[in-house]
Amino acid sequence: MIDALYYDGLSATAHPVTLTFSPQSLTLNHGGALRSIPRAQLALGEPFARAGLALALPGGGRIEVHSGREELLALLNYRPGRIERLQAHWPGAFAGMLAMLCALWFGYHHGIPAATEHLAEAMPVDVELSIGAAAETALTDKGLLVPSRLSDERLAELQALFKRLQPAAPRLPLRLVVSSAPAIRANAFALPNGTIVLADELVRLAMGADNQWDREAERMVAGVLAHEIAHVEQRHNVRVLARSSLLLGGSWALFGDFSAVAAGLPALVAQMSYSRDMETEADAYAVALLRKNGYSAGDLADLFELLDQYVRSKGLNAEDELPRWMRDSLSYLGSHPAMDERVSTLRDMQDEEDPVE
Amino acid sequence: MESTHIEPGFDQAAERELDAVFTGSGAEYFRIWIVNLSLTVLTLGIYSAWAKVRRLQYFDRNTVLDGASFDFHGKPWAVLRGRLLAVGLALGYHYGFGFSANTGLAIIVALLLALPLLLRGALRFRLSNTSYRGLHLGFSGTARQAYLAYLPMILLFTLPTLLQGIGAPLAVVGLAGLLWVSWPACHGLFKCYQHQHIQYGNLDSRTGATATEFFGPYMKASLVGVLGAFALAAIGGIAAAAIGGEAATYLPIMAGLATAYVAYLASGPFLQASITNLMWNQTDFQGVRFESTMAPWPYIRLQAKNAILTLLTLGLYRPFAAVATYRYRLAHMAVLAIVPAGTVVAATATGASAAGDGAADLLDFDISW
Repeated sequence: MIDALYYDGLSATAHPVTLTFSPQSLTLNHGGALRSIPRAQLALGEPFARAGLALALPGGGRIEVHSGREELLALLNYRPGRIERLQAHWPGAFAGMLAMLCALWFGYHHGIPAATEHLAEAMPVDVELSIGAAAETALTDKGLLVPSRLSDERLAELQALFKRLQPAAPRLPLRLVVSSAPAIRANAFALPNGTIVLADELVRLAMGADNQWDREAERMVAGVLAHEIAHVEQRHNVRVLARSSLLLGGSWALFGDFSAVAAGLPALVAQMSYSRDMETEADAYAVALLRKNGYSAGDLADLFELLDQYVRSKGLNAEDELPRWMRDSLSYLGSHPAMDERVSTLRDMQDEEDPVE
Repeated sequence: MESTHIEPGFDQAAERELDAVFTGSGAEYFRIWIVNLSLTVLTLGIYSAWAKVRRLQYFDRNTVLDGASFDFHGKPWAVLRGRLLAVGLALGYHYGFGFSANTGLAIIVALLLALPLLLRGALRFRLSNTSYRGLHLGFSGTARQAYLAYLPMILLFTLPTLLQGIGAPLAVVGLAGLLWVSWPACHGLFKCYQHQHIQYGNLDSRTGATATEFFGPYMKASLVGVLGAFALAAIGGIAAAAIGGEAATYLPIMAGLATAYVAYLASGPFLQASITNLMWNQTDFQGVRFESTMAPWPYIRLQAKNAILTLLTLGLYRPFAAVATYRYRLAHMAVLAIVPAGTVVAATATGASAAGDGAADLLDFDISW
């Protein structure tokens, strides 16, 4: 006999009742009035450690038992489900946590890259072309694609260089646009539709103080162009899009319960690190293109060193004023790997090349 | 719709405070939370709907008011539907303008039209699936009222993006940004909507609060944030000067970051506490009223402790934090009732919904998290 409170679903009054069980049914004794309910029609809410037990009755009534829980659970022949058993004991909980950490690690290192690849592969070329075209229009509107102010001769040389560097059968038709917009500074970037934008400033930087289009300048610009061609060939823009969608969705689904700050952060950090892998990948592809045309990995390294000096001279980079531990963590968090790392990787590649000259 | 009126014969002195207890514990909830989180990850998020139902049941059934506990009856499939819809909407909003200005515009218009209804749906889902003493709660706000309550907030959020997407000049986008000063009132509008239409059995809630009352708490909270920022900046500056040398260069950066975070940590809870008090002290059902006594500074300390411990434990403290917060909030909410429980009866349901708006309801979608 168990004491309980009965709510009839018609009013909020609590009716004290006693419960007795038989093999087939539960009998409710409400001040003398008896009501019999078949066991099969009873629905027990998931028992929590110190919450009252809640039994839903057919027809909208409800019984709450606050003392005598264990007795009631025994009488009901209650068998906790698998998940409830995991939740009830610390080993189960930690086993679950371990499984989750493994799944997250696996997802991060294999699942997301694989899914990104599939998404990127599945994306039709038309989509890339239209996204790229839209981006180009937007850039032109913002005044970032202003015609170059280099001489026609120089431009012709650049176009010829570009043509030589292109792979025999590019994935998309590639096009070189040289822009004099000061906002880009000494930079180059690739759009998904195969348009590669090169800034005047970068060309001038490569030509050096003597403003000569010499073999050295040609080699460094070749390095940049090869790197950008690599980004297009390897569909990096599309992969970034796919990757950021997956990460955004993933971290939102998993951690959306956290505050808004936390929800954004995991995705942001993971995203940055992928971009680093992609830049490294682009460097490797670029080196292959360069070597095919008689250049070397050292050319790209030279350019990066030049860029680094340039950026520092303009006071644009505060990184070198920071202590090394901070610089390292920033470089992991930054969207481009630290120049030092990339340069040293490229120098290693340069050493592998046969010393022909 | 039937509602009880308090007869003049009721003895005001008979008002009693209902005893409120939370029987849950951080340790127990941690185990539930971690297992459910693991399952959610392993099922790529699908299980999150079952996890949410379990979480709501845990908090509802462990809340004992006047000897009776609440309960949550929502079905996981309904939650899952709502979540998939929410994800779809979010993606559409995120990528709409990437395709074309027209697609972006179409998506924003669709959101403007649908969001108030979906938010009302979420309220209805949460409330009508919650019961206390065998009677269900409900939400009787109409769709029209939902538009009036939610559109200002939605417009505030989407106008800058919308203008940018159609290529409006930066000055216009900037002006749209200025509209943000009205945010407290927008917040107040929908909070008042929420508190004005809660049902419990045949009782209806009503609130005397107005949207403009929200400016006060917001201004105080901003002050708290600004003062906190100044204080930290000053400390940072003094420390940097004292230590000198290399530290002087990057200490300001760290101090700056810490300042921003602390401002957020202090003014956020301050605001929450103020608004909770503001709304609940002016909300009552017929014969039941509330006294919310959340004190801003103890609450700030609690949330700061929660935040620090959560950060230090890489998130593992979160379920403990949730329980601590819930316990605090429950301890500072007094429910005072004049009417005995027996006078509250089940709402007389008229047809499909007790809300009385007549329109056929889509299956209520729960898009809240």
